[in-house]
Amino acid sequence: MTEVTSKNSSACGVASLPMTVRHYCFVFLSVCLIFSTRQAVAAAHIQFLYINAGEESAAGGHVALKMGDEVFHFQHVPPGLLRVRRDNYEQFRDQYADRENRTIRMHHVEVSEKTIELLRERFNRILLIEDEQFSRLETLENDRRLLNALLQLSNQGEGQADGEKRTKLMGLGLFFQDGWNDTESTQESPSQPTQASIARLAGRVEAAYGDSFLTRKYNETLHSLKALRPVYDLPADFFKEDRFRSADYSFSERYTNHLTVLAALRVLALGLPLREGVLLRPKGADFHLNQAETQCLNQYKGLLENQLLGLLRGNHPDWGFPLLLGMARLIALDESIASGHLVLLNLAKPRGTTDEPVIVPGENQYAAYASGRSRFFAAKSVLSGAEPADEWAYSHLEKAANIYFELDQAVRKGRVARLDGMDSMPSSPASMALILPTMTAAEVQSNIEKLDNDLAKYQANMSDLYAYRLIGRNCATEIFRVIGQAMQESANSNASREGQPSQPQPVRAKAESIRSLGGYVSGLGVEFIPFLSFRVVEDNWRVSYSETVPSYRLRRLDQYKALENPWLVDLRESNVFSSSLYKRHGGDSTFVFFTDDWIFARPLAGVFNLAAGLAQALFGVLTLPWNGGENLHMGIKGALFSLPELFFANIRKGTFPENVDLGESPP
Amino acid sequence: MASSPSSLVPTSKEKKKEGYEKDVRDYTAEYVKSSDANTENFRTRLGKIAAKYEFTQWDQDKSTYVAIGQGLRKAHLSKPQYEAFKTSLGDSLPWKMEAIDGGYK
Repeated sequence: MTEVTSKNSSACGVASLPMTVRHYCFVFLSVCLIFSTRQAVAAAHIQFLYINAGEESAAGGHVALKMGDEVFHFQHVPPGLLRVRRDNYEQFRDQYADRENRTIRMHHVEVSEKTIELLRERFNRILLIEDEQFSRLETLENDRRLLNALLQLSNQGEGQADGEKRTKLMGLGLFFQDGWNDTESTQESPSQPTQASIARLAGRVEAAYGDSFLTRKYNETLHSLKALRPVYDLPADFFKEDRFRSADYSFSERYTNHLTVLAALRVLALGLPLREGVLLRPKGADFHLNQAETQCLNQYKGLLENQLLGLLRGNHPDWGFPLLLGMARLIALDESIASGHLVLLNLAKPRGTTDEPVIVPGENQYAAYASGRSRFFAAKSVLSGAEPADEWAYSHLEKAANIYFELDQAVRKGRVARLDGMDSMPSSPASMALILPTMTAAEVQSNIEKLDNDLAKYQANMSDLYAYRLIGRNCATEIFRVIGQAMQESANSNASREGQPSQPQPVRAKAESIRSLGGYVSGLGVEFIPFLSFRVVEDNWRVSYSETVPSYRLRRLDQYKALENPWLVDLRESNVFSSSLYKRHGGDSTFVFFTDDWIFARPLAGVFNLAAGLAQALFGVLTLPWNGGENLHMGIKGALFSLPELFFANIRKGTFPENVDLGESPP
Repeated sequence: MASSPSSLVPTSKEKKKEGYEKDVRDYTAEYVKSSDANTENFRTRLGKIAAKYEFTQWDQDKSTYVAIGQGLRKAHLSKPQYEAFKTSLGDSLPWKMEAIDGGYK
């Protein structure tokens, strides 16, 4: 190091300076070089995460690799496959530590920026390859459902009201009621005047592309839909773990895209209005728009109109939904500009239409309200900023305003806030009657047979490649395997660049891993068990420090204990009956005592939990004819998850699926 | 099966945009290197990537084509290959091809 520094110093022309000055220069440059070398070699960290066991998802725990804001991990998905996922860390933490109530422990491993890039590229490549392969599986299954529906339609004859076949289309519900039939579109609102914003857009389309453009486009789309034919011929070499191959634009995707385009063109040609309840018109000063904000929305409206014009002439295959949503937003923008108050698309989903209602518990309501309000103002401030608004800014405002409005209403009216549907853009799905392509029933049947053949081959190949195995292929083994691949790749590249003699591949990967991570973990030893993998990483990799993110319940208990008598808190929160934090729900099995924060009393609490599970199972047997075995199932599950507690081990922690944490500060 | 993380935890629009552009860049690089490059499949997948980020006007947005240009650069294509992809992925439209050039530089 000293020699290198000295050479560098000379190269900078320091040799000609007096001795004392040279001495200080030398010391200064040495410090800089030591610092910069450390920065280059190991200036960053990756995190190896261990998430402790939970009842629903992973009785053996879960592991993940965090790089910056991204977390890569392998998840068990139906039908018995293991698939890589990439999540934003905040969302990952919210899901595992808060909703699933599991503690996350992490080792910070010192690595170079180059190693992070190498690992990210490798995990990302696996993600891209798997996304295409899983996407193809999903579209084949969708094709199967669509062809079956078309076969039934073909057999009964198109246009027959009885048993009419429908498909759900995104964005359709913004303008049409559920069950819309393309041939009856003009009867949707026969006496209603054309919507001014849509009529203006249609006028611009005619001016730009000609008077008959919309009619011609509609007829071309309908003709193209009727001529659609599925093609099934799975390439023999489709399946290779390390080969990227883009998934085909499938028959069902083409079909639904064509239908959505037809619906969007109807809206545009007829100037149809939005359906009742689609717009949210929040009252109050917070939603008032000043002149600068109105001007900004006006500019965005102009941009959006130009984008919609471009869509109609583009090669974008699924432009129906963007056109429907864009037209709905144009109407909202026009009304906002005219009224001087924010008018937005309503993101709230009607009651009973979501599987998992998202509710802010009463005790969190005020904190959520404050956070929602602050986020709304942060999103709204973009309208008076220097940058012109774009879709990113507008949709962010749309979501923030919906959430804030709902929280505000809940606080004012003293009711529970429901945020169902506010986690996504306004998709407003509704069903539309199918249109039969010009295929005979025999042709459809023949295509179903070909598809079944491809689907069976595909499922078997997916299973060969991605089957979950408790010991050989799980969330832990796959992380180490992909890291090994990345190390191998890097070692090969270095060797070929330096012209080194060939070495066996595992030897190279191991040497590279020791250099980059401080050690080598193959994934073939005891580290296949998530809990032990955390220990193995600690013993082998260059771990700088470790930290723990406590589960939601443990964090809240600490907060309570800071304000109340700790003994009373422990007593009250020890069981599901008196707990103020936990609300019983169908996702958790039957239990009485929380045992995740108890160690010595765990077996005793486990006895009570086991007894409660068995009692519910017995009750389940007696009520079997009435509740379809749900009580029996939850009772048996409760008893099973109580058994480890008898031996001081804890799996079940109680989950908080409806817990919503909107964060502390605006982005 | 573990459930997917919720998106109610807000992600800033800057982070979302950055994530979108990174995904388009990475997907483009893989797509052009694959032997079965098909423009229709490419556009369908871009639509899905954009939908993941709740971005609907991706086809008419310059940032999409800048990210495609970055992907073409990442794939280390030869000049003729680059020109061919630029024309096909940019729909031969000057503004799209200019944006691709901008990302490639």
